[in-house]
Amino acid sequence: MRTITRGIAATAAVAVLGLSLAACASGSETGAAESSEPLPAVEGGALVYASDVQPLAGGLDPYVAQAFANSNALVQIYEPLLAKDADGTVIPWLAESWEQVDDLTYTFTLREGVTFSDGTPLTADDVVYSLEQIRASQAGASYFPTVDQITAVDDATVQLTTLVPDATILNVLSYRGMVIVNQAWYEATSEEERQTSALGTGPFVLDEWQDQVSMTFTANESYWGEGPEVDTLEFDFIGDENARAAQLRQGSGTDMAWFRDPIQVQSLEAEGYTVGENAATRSLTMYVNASDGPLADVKVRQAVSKAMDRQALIDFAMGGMAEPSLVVPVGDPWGIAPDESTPNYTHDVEGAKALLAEAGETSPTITLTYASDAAFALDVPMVEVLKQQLAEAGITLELVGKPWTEVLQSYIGGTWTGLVLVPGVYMPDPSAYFATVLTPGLPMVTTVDETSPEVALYMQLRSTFDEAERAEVLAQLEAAVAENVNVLVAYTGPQRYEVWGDTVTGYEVDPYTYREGLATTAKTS
Amino acid sequence: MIKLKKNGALVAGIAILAGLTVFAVLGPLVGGYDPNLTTGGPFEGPSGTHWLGTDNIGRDNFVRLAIATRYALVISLVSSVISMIIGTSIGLVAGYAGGRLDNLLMRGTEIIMAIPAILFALVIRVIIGPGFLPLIIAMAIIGAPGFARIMRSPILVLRDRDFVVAAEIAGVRKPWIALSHLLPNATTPMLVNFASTASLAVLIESSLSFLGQGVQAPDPSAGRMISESMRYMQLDPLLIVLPAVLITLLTVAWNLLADGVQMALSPKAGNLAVPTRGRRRKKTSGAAGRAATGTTVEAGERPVPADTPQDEAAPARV
Repeated sequence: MRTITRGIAATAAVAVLGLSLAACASGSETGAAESSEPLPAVEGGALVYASDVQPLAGGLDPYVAQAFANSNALVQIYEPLLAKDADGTVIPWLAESWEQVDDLTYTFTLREGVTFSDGTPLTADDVVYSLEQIRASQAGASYFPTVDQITAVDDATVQLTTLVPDATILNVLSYRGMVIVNQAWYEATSEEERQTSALGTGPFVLDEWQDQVSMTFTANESYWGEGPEVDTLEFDFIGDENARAAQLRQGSGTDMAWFRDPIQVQSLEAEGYTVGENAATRSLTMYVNASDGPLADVKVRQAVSKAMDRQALIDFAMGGMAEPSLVVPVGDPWGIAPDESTPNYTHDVEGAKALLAEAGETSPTITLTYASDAAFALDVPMVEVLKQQLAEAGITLELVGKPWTEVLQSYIGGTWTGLVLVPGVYMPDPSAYFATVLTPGLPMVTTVDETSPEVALYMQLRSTFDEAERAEVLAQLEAAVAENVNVLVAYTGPQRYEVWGDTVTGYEVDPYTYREGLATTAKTS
Repeated sequence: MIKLKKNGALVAGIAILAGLTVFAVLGPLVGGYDPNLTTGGPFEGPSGTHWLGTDNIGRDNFVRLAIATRYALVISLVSSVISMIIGTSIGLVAGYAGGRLDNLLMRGTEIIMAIPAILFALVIRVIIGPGFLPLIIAMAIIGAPGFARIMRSPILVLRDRDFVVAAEIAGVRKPWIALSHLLPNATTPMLVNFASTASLAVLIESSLSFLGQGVQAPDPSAGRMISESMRYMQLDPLLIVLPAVLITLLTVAWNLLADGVQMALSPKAGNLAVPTRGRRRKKTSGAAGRAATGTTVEAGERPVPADTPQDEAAPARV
């Protein structure tokens, strides 16, 4: 048990990096078009999608790239073994079926007839090689801390064994980052070329990448699955949100776009554009550094949580377009919405003052570090309103705005003071949201040690297979974390909104994994 | 001494600055709200209770704008004063001492001038951290080289003039000569440069705050108000118009003041057809130096015509 904990600890730090990069990059998104009366689809055509940034560091190398923007391009080209449907249920993808032989062993049977876009068939060796690449990569290692061996049983069967029972394996394999590459191609291609070229099994093939301008894909003629309906797919990179909206309104070829700002989206919706429903998984999470200062006292932490009026934060900062949330975002299929019985979640200024008095800290000063870059402008009203709310209970919240990279560094290194705001992203397994809060030994974990009951619950969550039992453990864990305030969640909103007009049809939003459903999207004109 | 009636630029510049100062000082008192507290609903229009409406989280725009004016004025003024002190000292020492020290100091200022102002300010911000003080320090450093160069040019000529030589022969100590004989004779271009540096400081402060690296939330600053309100541009245009007008007024006022001062202190004032931006003229053509040519100034007991040359524009003579 202890070794495993350490293994997780060692690797979770890297997971944090991935998470944070993804949060930072907040990339592009797809949308499909539909009006009140959907127009009939036409064959072929070019689908143009406006997004904000092109793939960042790592480019198109699936084992190096971690940012949101990279994934949006990667999911058109590469595919994982498993996937998730809109309810969050794991479904077959490149693996046609799978079996959990015992607590430690899984076998996967590959789908027949799957080829890479150059015509070479997908083999079990490719799968083994790919998963090993992920294990060996800096960004992906944290997902497989318990994996023992991955072997090819025959040409179409892969076996994976773990050291201890690990309930996260299937969820992790269905994550869109866990993609399968062609071993021969990947090995023969230089590190740099992998970032600008690609060979996958997915519905689209990269045609041209114009730096900072656009990325064009053509349909993969030999795609095993449904689609793609269009001949070409083009991502246009337009940084400014207003410019992107103008591009969409102009009707000069842009079919779909994604937006971050609910206000922009509301006005587009009022004009008759369709807005895709993305699940709320962007939690505004404030991590606690309890190694010194007033927050070392759990009573002060509880007072802060009680002094927060989460609904008012949502109303003022997000115009009502967000929801109160526990650690697992409410938009995640595993997410549990907080209610009146959730410890310390009800707004109670008097209760907060009483707790502060008990702690002997009637007017503590707490620092909150947040990202002040323009890309995070959406979060600033929240911290401003929070400052006012805490002041009512006698808590002085000192706001320190820093560039995102500095915020991230202090968070990963555990060097921040007081609180640090790090917006979250969707994680493949519910336990993953707790990794950087409840893994003793990580630099950013300061509220628990190996003997803490929360840690025991977290480890139990990781190793419980039965879904009902797992949900029960998760509920206990959420309650324990809310009680001890190991972390503060202000609210959860969507990562982004997809918007499209009536020039496209058939698009399905995949709310949890952001797998672009562009393969099944068709043009109407 | 100064003919105000003929000097519209000076009058207008002073009037706008005075008006803004009154607004900055009295605005928050008259408005009666805390600039950082929600005191109304979001996006309220101008009304009897909130004269300029409220922002996205219900804070009073009038008071926030007044505080933003306060920040802009204080930052531009204080940083320009520091720039002037540092820059003038460098220029004085370089011009009077000459030789290697001159070379060293001037190359140093050129290095700083070669770096784009915003970039330089961002670097300083990263080193020191965000907030009010780093902003002032950054802008003080950015503004100093301009003063140094403008100060040095007249000193180069003045140091060979009879009254300086006489003082040297009489055994007056050099620092005293610099301060009491050289400095007073080179003040005109300095004053002009002061106003235009302040105008630049307003712009840099707004830009940095716009980028989230200047004045920190929740305190209001024109740049931050614009960046925060961009999202609501269509919903409530006033939120973006107000701080934009404030920045415009401030920069225009400082520039008018620069032009006005230059005209007032130049004997050729009447011949200047169109007042142009003081800073630019000085930097590119040494116009300030020329404008000051022939100015009669008091130095010691006797009047001395300070024939300020155009070294500024002719580095070959250095």
